[in-house]
Amino acid sequence: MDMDMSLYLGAFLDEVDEQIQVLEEEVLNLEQDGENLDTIQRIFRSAHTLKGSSAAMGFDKMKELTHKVENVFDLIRNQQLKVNTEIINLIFESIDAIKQLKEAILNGTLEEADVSDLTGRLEQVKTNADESETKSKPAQETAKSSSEDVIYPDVKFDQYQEEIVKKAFDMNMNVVAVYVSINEKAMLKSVRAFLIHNNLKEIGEIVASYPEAEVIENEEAFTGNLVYLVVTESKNQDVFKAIQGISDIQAIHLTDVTKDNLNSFLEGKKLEVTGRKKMEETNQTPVRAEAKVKVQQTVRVDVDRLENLLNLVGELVIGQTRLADIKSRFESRYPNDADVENFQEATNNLRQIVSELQEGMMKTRMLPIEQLFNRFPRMVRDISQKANKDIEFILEGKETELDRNLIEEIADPIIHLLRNSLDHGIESPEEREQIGKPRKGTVRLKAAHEENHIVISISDDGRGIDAEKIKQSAVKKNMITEEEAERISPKDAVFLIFKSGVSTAKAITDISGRGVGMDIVRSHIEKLNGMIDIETEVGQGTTFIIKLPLTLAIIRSLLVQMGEKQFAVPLANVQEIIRLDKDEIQTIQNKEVGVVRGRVLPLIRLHRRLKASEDTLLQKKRLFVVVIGLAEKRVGIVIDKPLGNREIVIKPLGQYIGMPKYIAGATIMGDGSVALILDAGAIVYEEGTAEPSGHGAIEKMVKKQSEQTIQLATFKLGNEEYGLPVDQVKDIITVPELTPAMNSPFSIIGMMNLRGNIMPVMDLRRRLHLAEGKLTRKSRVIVTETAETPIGLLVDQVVQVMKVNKETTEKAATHENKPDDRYIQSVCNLGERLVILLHLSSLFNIEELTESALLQQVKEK
Amino acid sequence: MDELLDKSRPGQYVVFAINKQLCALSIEEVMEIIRIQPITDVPEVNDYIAGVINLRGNIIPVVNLRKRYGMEAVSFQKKTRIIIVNDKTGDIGLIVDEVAMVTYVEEENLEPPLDVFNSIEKECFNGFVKREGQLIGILNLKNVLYPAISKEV
Repeated sequence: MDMDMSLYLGAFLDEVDEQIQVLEEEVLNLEQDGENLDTIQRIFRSAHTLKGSSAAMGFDKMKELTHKVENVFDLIRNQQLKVNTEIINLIFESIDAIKQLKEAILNGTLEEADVSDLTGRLEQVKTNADESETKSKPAQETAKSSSEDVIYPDVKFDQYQEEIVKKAFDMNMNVVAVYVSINEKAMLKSVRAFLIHNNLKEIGEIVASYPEAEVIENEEAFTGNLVYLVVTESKNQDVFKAIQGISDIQAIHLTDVTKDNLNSFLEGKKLEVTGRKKMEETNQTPVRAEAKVKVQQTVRVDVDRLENLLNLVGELVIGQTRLADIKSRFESRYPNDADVENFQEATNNLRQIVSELQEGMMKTRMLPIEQLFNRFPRMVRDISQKANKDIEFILEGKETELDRNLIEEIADPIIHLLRNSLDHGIESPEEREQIGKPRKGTVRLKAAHEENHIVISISDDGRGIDAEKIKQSAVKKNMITEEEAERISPKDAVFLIFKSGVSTAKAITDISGRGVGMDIVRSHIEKLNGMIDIETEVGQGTTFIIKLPLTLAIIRSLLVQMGEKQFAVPLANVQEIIRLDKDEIQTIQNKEVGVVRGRVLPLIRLHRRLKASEDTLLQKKRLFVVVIGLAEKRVGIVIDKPLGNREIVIKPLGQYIGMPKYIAGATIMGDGSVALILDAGAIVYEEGTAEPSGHGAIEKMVKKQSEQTIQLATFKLGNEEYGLPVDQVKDIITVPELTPAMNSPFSIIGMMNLRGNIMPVMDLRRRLHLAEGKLTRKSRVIVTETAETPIGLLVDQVVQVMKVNKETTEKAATHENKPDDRYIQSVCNLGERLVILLHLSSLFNIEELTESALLQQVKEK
Repeated sequence: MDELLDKSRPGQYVVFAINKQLCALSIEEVMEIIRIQPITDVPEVNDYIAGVINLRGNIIPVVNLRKRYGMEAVSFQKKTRIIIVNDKTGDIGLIVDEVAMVTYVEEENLEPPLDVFNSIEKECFNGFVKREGQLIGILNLKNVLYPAISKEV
């Protein structure tokens, strides 16, 4: 018979992992909650299982070690030994040693491993306890093994199984119920059960197996007694032989299922098996054999192969984009061609499949972050003990999935940040008590999905980061001048901790405090196209927020045109795209800045650096600016124009070229050409440092500008141009489907649903008593925000959002006899055009609305 | 492998022209030869690196050999080719004016490098091939790609 040792080894190693996990968790519980009998029992059992299976596999050192651990917990269980920190530490050391042994098994270096020191110390604990207590009880596990009777699970066929059995009778096949009992003391019973299952499958068809697969897989619940119903052409001896060879089998019993005794199976009656006791009531549903072995449903695949597939999918995405390009060119060239429509359909279909394929591929690489998170409770415990801190560690969102590469990559930054929080975030228990905080500090590690990102946050309720101290430290280390320190905003000051050498820790410990590391954390995260942010309040705590793309390979990005070239900006960094008039751009300290909503935005022009021609830029009066951001920092990149969002596959430029400044990599465009990806993080970081915020001159300028100008959204009704102050405009949308509203004023043409908000839509033409207009492609609904409910205004066309100097506006002359003038606040004279500024509240005057509705009704009659 | 290639040996060579000068690379160093195609230039790199191209989904850097030798750059012609060679960092393209031929070079036609050459030539050539009265320089690929003295020149 074929015995596959690697199957054993794999199962064994998995089991070791599992049990180590259990041990760590439970020992942590033990430490926190004190001696809880359940916990001790679980630890004992876990150590016991490890001992048994490592003995079965012939790994004596591990057996020895786990045996000693088991002994210690046996004493604890029998209350002959009190749990103390020393013991807990020893146990943790043992767990570490088990891990090392496991690694050694994997690396084939088991011979070199030495655990004698540990086993000696564990033994010492035991002998000490034995001395104080004269007698020790034998381990409990032997208690139940005396029973001779084997209890087999209940057998009961369902309809499906019954049919198969009947069919087998018709075909003159042999139907056997195989009762197998695995030695109760045997380890890895589940593995043996799988072996039995496999061997039986080779000689016949397994119609049913009892107990359920889950029970079999559960080493603790599984008693080792199995019943298989096999349909086979072989004789009973062959069936017997097939399983006889498997080690640790106590008994095999075969019962032929015949037409005569079939009924008893159907009814679920127990077959009389000699010397078998009745089993206590169990709730079980028969399962089909196919559904049984969970292990077979997964396939282990070489990561490189997956990587390769993912690359191919990336190529496919590129090819798809290219096809879409061609499609849209065809569409505009042959608008009414039937074949083009077919082509359109085909490409759309393809796009769907490709995006599903991409998603599916992505998922194959996704793992729950649990894998990583589970390492931390132990680490937190060790550190807090070393640093004499009392800490409650909370993990959230363990099930969040992300790319397996990312899991590995993100481990170090998280460890670093956790250490920081533990070491100098959380105060000592005494200090906490003094300032009225609970002695126990809380550190929370949380992962969650947010759109296309994963957000990992590490927060503590410690002392927070004092911006002033950071500034002092940075000045002391000559990283910034004192003058700069005065100007810098608290948020920016806190961000200085990402510079090498800045630290506020009073003492350097071996855990952290040297001020190196945070810069590495940051660069590490940025290398992964991620961002890091800090929220901190002195005395309240600090939260580090890491935002990462779900995957390393494919990101969403904004394509921009600069000169004749195209560049991609990772969408994660893009805050918005704005347009600035050239004359709105000011130069301060040789740097260009724009003012956006009262904030100074440093502008950079990358054309020359990126070797792109500036010709188009020079011809333009209004410039497109991509605002990219990193935490609080913003920088605007001047571009020729945005080209839209695209999924792109990030490709490295390769070692030969290296890492040019501001370039994060390259990607292949729809037309096959190569576009460079801008390193938004680096640009913001570099260019944002000189952010002249807080500079008096600029603030004055901003203030002056905002005092003097108003920003208008302008739109057209017929040939007239109207305007509304931008702060009253919430949204501008294309005309949605409208639901007629009952009994509403004449000018209200219906209700619409905007992201869940129901609001009325007013036809502004009707309201202003202008001639009825037609809905066109250019028609828009402007969602206004007044005091109460939002209202949509239907207009012919939206022109632009612009700034006008207040001096250009003139109060409109009011004529009592022209009622419509009431709605006009002022008129803005822009030389070649006039913009009429509307008065929103009078437009929405309820009384008037109903009045006009009545009027209209009268008119209609 | 590098040491092996430092010395010229008989075998098949790809012969190509840069500014009318004939050069050769052992066929073992050449992965493929493609037509010139759109090159995306990369900022802030050595100026002889013309940029990157898309070779069947892979991003490959391209070196302009004319610029590498400090020759005058010319616009690309119909005959301009990119020779893809394999480097330890991956594939790299070399822009040449034209590919003349692939030929077998006998031992007796090989000449060692001459001392009279100026430094840049000494650095770049492993030796020469005498062929129909012409001298064809055999490129030292490693030195072409990683100029040790280019900064001094």
